Amino acid sequence: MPKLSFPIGPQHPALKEPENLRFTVDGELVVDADIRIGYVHRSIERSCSERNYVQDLYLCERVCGICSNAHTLAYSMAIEKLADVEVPERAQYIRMMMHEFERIHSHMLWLGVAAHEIGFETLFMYAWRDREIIQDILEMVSGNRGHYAMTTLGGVRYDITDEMAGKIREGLATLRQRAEHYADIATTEATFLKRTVGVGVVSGDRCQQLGACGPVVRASGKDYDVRAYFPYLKYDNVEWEVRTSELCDVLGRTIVRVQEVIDACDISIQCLDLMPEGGEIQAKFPRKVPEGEVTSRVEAQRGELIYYVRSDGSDVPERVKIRTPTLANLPASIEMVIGGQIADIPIAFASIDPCFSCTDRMVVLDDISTGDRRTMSWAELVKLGKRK
Amino acid sequence: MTASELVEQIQSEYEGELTEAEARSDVDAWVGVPPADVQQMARYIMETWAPVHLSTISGVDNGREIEVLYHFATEGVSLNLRAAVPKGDDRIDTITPIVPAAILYEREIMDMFGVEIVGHPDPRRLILPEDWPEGDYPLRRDDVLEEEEGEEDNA
Amino acid sequence: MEVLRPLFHVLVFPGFLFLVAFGLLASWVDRKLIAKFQNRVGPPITQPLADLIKLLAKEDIIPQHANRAMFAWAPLVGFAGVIASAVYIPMWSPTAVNFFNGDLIVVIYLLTLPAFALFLGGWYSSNPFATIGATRVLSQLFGYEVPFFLACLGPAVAAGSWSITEITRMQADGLWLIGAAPLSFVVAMIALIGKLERVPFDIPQAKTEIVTGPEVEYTGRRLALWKLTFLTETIVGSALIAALFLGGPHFWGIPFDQMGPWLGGLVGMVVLAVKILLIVFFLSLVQAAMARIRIEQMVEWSLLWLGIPALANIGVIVFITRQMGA
Repeated sequence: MPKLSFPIGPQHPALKEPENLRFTVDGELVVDADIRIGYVHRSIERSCSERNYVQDLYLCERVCGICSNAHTLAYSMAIEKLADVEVPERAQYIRMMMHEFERIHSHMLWLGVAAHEIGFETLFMYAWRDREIIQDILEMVSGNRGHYAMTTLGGVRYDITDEMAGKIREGLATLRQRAEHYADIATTEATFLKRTVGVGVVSGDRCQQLGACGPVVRASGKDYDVRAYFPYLKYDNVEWEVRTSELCDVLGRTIVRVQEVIDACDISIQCLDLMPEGGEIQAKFPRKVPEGEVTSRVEAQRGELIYYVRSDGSDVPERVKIRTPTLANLPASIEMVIGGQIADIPIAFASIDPCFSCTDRMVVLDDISTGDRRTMSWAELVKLGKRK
Repeated sequence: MTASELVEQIQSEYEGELTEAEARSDVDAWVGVPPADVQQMARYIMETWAPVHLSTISGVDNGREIEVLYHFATEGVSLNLRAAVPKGDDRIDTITPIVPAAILYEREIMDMFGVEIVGHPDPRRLILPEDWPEGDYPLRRDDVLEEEEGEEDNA
Repeated sequence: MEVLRPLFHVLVFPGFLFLVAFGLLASWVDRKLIAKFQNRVGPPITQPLADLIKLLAKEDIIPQHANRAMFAWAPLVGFAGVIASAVYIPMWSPTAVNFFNGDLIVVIYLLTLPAFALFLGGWYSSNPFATIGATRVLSQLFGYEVPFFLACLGPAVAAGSWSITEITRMQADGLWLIGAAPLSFVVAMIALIGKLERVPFDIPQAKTEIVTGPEVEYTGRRLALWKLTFLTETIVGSALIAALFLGGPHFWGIPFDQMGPWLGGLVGMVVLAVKILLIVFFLSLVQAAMARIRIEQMVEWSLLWLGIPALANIGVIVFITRQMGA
């Protein structure tokens, strides 16, 4: 059989977001791979420098639907550092809980998607059913199942009442049990192992060279976790450890993620225990932010998320740069699929938990048939208007 | 290691020109080099504190020049390296051969700011569509410069 | 009237109409069971029929670069193969509509037609997903076909006949051949999963990898035909296994002789339907409990773990019949 060029995307059942991967295959073997991103650019970085700091908070939340809280957290931490505002302790614990809740919901979502990629529909259904527990908790705390709008500049928007705390403890106890069950399934179910062991292998050193982060690099035996490297919020005060695996394959990434769900349950419970009673949850925040530049990193569920913000002293940031974890993991994911089987592409690729809508942030849609620019960001329009 | 120790080490060991070297907190180190020296500095960083994680490369158009910022992370220190590329001669050497992680970030810089990354192994577009007009860079703010010049003319 | 009889058997019972109706019912049972296993509600009983009608109403598109004849005829050939094989399988009494010594071979051959048709239809679709899927259909065929044939050989050797009707009649006294060929039965059941392209052997279709593979370019009527082919193949394949190993329509304590042809036929059909649904239950259970494996894993595994047990079982049967004969 001659070598065949084989596309996955922009529309494909394995990818929930538009992205184009092009593979050259020889029979069932993948000999080359290339990726084309940029299908969902939404001009967020540029738009950020057109809006004030509070508006940007909402904009950043909408970079991604799954890690929305990680984005507001990283953004708020950056701006608070610039403005030198101290966040009340109770708010920090609440932020940390939201951060871990989001990790739980995202990892459960990932587990379902990964099972779906290898045709294990039952695990997919069960994982998503149990994910509803954390979704209910998120809804109870913030009023929303996604885009929680919990983090605000200087603190959090809603407090956690005693009644909520009880329900959270209850829900997390169930969830923790279920996660342990899934850890058991992942390491014992024969067909699951057949599809994950030795699939999508990248060594730890190579991961590090390629700048991979999050569960991908941790599943290859390296311990890069922003929560440990640059402790933020109150991660110094709770007991937890960086989960790593030496397996370097999809199974390793599964184990790390499921383990992190269990850890996240424990961290959240510790937050409830350590949280000071009552008190402020939101500090007063100035409208204008002093001149300066700052970077802020958080460990989003997919890996390290970094914001770089520069302020010119006005109420509008001069530049907001966002680098999402998926972009950092893409070079490693390409290495995962080359040399593997076609059948392993979806699961190997899914094992980095890709999120392309986060990765692309600026869009100018072109109407390909006519070559005309159809939609433009406001900034583009202004620019175009000036040029005429 | 703290940021100030790292900055001191750079100042004493690194044999090249530094445009800035400052520890702004315990974890934030800011270092600047002329654009021509970026490979030398990247090599020095990668060899001195290995393993070093390159978090990303940011670009900032400040009107006169395009600042290319390399955000590195080592154990406990966030090391930010700045190289300001003057507009008109917007070229900078690639660091991909030294830091493989830079490959996509450099393509993003090329797409968004039109800075030519000299020697990049794969200088195709990353984010912009194929039929995007040449010479039009979304995050480049040439209009700011034009405005300022215009104001000066009026004055 | 006698002239119309074969036509009736092919078009109404046990052919087209019956198979489609029962296939739709079995498909609903299958979907409902999987839903229950997965903690979902599942579809209403009319859902498979509604899906079928919807597909029939859709536009039929033949891709520009596809080979028109191959693309258009492939699903018909596959479907015809399944319908034709039904007349050789006992559906209500131990005697099939048609039988002769050697019809087992014909049925096995007819049941491979859908796979070949799927390969041809996929290959001539001129779509990379379909091409990869088509090659997988063939690779998988080599994986399950040999064990399936060997497994069917077990009861044939035990009964000393190549006719399904003969084999089923032999079991009418209550000695089901599953007793003589238990390994062959297990192998036949697993090979049937491969034949029907169900999890864990849904490799040629693999939605998340190659977007339903050979079927990717099919729409409307022709896609409905493919769906029907696999629905009816489920029934025919299950009925074949029931006839070979589980005594066909026979069940202990039901006096077929005293009930006359009509009542006896009806009861026999119900008994067989229950057996078929039990096999469908097994298929659903496997589907719910497993992930899809890779093509090379499937071929390697099935030749080793299906081929060898099936051969061993035949060896044992040959040995025993020799001893009894001597």
